[in-house]
Amino acid sequence: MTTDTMNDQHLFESEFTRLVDLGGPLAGLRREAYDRFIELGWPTMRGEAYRYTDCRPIAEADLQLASPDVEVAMDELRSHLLEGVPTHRLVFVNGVYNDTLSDIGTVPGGVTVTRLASAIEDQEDLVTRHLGTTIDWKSDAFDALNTAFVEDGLFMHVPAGVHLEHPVHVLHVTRPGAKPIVSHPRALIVVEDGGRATCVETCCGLGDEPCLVNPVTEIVAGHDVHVDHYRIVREGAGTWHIGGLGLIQGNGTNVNSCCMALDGALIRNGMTATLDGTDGMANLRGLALVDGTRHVDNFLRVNHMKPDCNSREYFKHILSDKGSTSFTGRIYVEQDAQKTDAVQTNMNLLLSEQARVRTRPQLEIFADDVKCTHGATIGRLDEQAAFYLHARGIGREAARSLLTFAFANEVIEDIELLPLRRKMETLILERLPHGDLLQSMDSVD
Amino acid sequence: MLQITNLHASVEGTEILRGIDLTIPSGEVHSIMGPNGSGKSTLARVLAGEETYEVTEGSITLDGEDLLDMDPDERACEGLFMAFQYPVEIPGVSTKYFLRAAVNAVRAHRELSELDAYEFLQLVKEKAQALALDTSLLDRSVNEGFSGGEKKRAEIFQMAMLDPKMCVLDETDSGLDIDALKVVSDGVNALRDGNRSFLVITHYQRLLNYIVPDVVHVLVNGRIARTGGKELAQLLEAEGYAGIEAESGVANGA
Repeated sequence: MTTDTMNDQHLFESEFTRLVDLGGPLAGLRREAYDRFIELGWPTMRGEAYRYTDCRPIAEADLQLASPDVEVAMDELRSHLLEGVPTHRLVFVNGVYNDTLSDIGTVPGGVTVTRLASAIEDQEDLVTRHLGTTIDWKSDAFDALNTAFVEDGLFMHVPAGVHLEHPVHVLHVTRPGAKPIVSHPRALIVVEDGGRATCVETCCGLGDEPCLVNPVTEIVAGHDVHVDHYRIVREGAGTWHIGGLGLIQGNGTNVNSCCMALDGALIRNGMTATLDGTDGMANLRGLALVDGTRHVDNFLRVNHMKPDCNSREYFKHILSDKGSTSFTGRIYVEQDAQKTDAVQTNMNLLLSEQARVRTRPQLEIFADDVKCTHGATIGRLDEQAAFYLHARGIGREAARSLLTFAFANEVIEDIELLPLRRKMETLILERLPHGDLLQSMDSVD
Repeated sequence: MLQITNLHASVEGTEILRGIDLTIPSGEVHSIMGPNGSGKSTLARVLAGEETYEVTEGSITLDGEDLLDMDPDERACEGLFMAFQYPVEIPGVSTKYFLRAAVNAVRAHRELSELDAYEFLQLVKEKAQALALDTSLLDRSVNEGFSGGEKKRAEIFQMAMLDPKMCVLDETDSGLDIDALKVVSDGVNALRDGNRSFLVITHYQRLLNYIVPDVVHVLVNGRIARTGGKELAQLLEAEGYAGIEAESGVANGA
């Protein structure tokens, strides 16, 4: 049995057959999702959703499902760990849980933090009830593909009224090989009424060979819940990272999610937020640093289904060399969703002549008493400001880096989890000329 | 201290400065006055090193060092400070952080040790006390949302922190009410120590009631048309620039 990528009808069929033969509670969902993926085929630039993301290299690669049988040493992950805060750490290598590298520690009573592969057996009811409910896998080929191959990843359940104090840190480690591989990690985070939790996902690559990483994370938040979710993308230079986030939230619930796109050949960050209760707030943020010939695509959809909710989208892209980005922000407001307050912002900083930016807001509003604003800017560094810093003794490059950092910092400056914010600051500064001079940014305070 | 010789400068091909000669000895306060368009701000910006202004002839030296050979940051490190007429707002950059970076850049150049966070805050406290300035502005982004007076006060505070030997004040009085003018002037006067030199550029004599200059130069049409003592400023206040303009041939279009 071989995979024939020239013919979509047989794509990944052998691996799929193996997985479906396992049976279990998700067999039906997998089957349906696989059939859907075959129907949809790889996305093309003729369609709306992937108009600015060229998936041809992915479609043409002879992808094989990744094997978890690769060695990864703890030392290779050091630079990705969060320091200065206890975490519940789960490490997945090529999509499969690695017990040696993980350190979940103890969680408060009633809370479950485990691998999805176990939860499918042990928490069948929760998994089958929620998996696939926050994303539109029937229309997105990559979400369908992930769902067809759903097998492992994070499962997290916070019961009503419980506050999970320390963050859950998930590392999706990809070690590519001579042949292009694909992994489909899935995370399901369920937080019941009045619960509180923080989850940090780091997607890191240990190698620059071509590969596809297709992670999907779902957050199901009840009423009066607070969830903070972060994703840092630091893949290998040859990695196509097609990530999805789905979240659905109830009354009075506040969800923050921030995606920091740094490394990878192609990074797509698809986010779908559904405000399915009143008085909720979905706060979506993103920062992309794009150099070389890389492409970053932030593709968002916010569904306002109920009245009196706020949504915020705040996305900044910094482009140099021949980097390119696209931003699509769809805001859908149901007829019922009166007093919706939605704000969408996409700001782009161009540091080179050849960089390309595409940005498109898409508003579909069926209610008549709403406030929906959107704004996009494309600009260069403020030369007057650069001169001002320069004239105070700060070198030319360092002054430009300081201004670039300031632009980026506005995305992350409100992050309450200080060790994470420091880490993100460092990751930005490392990528700027003379960034080392600007280290210890806030230590003056 | 500062020696300007036969300085010619132009912007986009138009000559603005047409041969300026000016010497400011150590510890003196000189003022440059002049009508709009005479080249006052151009002189300030050429001194600071802004690239839009091209120096076509002449020289500027600071304690014998060729200033025109230096980038703006090197000039700052060598002890030149320009208080901007319009300080730039820089959202996202904390004033404290920026100032510490600037102070340490200047200190590194002078082969002094870098200030750590604690030492820096001690210096802030000391300088703020000496100038009777409130440090709450430091917690905000550089000049962002500052009133006109706050911006100018922040400039004087930066001046105190960077400890320059030659200070250029570019129309620091513009947009200030009388109270703010007094605070800013008191700050400048507190920094007069017998060694530090000042070049105070202003359109109005008013500022010079508070910062009393040793020498007043009148700039007309890109040249220094007259030089005198502080009484020259009062004469200009009473009679305006027309007399000197006529004398130097500007009024009849030369």
